[in-house]
Amino acid sequence: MKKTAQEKSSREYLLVVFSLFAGLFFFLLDSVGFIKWLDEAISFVVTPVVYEGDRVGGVGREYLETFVDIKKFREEYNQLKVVMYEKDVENAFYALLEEENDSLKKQIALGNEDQKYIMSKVLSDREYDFIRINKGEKSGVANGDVVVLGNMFVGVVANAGESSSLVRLATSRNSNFEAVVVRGGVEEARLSEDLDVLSKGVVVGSPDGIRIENMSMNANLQNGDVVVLNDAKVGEYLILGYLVGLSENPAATSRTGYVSPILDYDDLITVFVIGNF
Amino acid sequence: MVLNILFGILGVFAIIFLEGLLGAFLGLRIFFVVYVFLFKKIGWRSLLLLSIPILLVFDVAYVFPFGTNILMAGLSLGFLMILGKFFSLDSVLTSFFLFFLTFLLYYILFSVLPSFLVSGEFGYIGVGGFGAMIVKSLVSSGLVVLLEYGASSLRNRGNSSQIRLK
Repeated sequence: MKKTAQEKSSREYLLVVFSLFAGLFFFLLDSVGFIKWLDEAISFVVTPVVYEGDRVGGVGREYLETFVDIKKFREEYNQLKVVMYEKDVENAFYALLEEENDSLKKQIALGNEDQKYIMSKVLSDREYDFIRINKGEKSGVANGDVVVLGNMFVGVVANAGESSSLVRLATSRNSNFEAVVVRGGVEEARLSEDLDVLSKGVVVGSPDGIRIENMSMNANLQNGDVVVLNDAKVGEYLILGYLVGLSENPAATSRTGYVSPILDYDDLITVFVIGNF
Repeated sequence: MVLNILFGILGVFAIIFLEGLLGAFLGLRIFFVVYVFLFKKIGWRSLLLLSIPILLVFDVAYVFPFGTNILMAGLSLGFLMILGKFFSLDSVLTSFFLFFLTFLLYYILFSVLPSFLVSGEFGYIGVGGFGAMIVKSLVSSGLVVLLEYGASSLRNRGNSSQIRLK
């Protein structure tokens, strides 16, 4: 005789009864340690499967959590960006401080101890043949003042404003100075008694660089000799750069060449104006 | 017969792997979803014989005392049967609600019972943990309803291929 659906349903509670009974039975067996061997056997067989499933699921969960927490990550990213900018600003400040320290050291080591200098900062990148500095008439800067770094010539103040000034570089076509060509190091070139003058000349700014003209044909000149300004407008010996592109025409009455500036005008940050107090 | 045994063993390994994967991925206990789905689909003896070894395996995998998973499954299913006495399981809406309560009880037991059996103290459930249980119960109930729907459509498709003689 077939069992009716009602009879089948009435026996489903046995599943619960047997489950509870089995659960308690296994728990009691485990409590007294009777089925330790079963634990070890099952563990040996299924642990790799469970571990692998757990590992794959864990990887998926990490991706899911990243996706869920994306707003938090964005906020952290923005905070980190702000921190990074703050560090950049700090670094820039320290870099400027370091540069200023180097410039001051150079000025103390190579500058004229009898002179008084006005320390100033270059405000903008080189504009044609000029640079702008952050000191003007208020600080004692006047037109015609010489701007230096150590014993190296930078330019002459062409227009002194109230709190900033325009400095004309040696590359300007309006710049012309008397100069001497010497052989020796940059450090020694400041004092006249140490100078081994090879020739005199005239330095003129030009579109293709700083030209030096009217040098003696008989002088033993070489490319790489040091060009030092020796002009009343400058007032003291200041190094301009190195002699390059020396002319080799035996029929000429004088020799010409170019001056490679010792300073890179594009990288100048701290310069010193020779004060006329 | 041999093929059936092989498929059975492979199926057991597959469900163990899936339980581990979905447990770690979403915190879902997929075997209990299958267990609830199979309730009333297959005979109670078959379900008992199938579930006991697998639930013992999970006890080992989760490092629970033996019988913990069987107790949790039995208690939750008993709760569903009691609810079934008062509400109909034939309607989708009520069955979904009853499944939801059953799964919620199962996940609560999953959090409190193992620690009780190990140390005699019930485990703690925080607000966040309870919220996660509700979400997992909703997903699990949805899965059972979907499986029910899939099984019924398969049955209907099977019937449609049969030739009826009036």
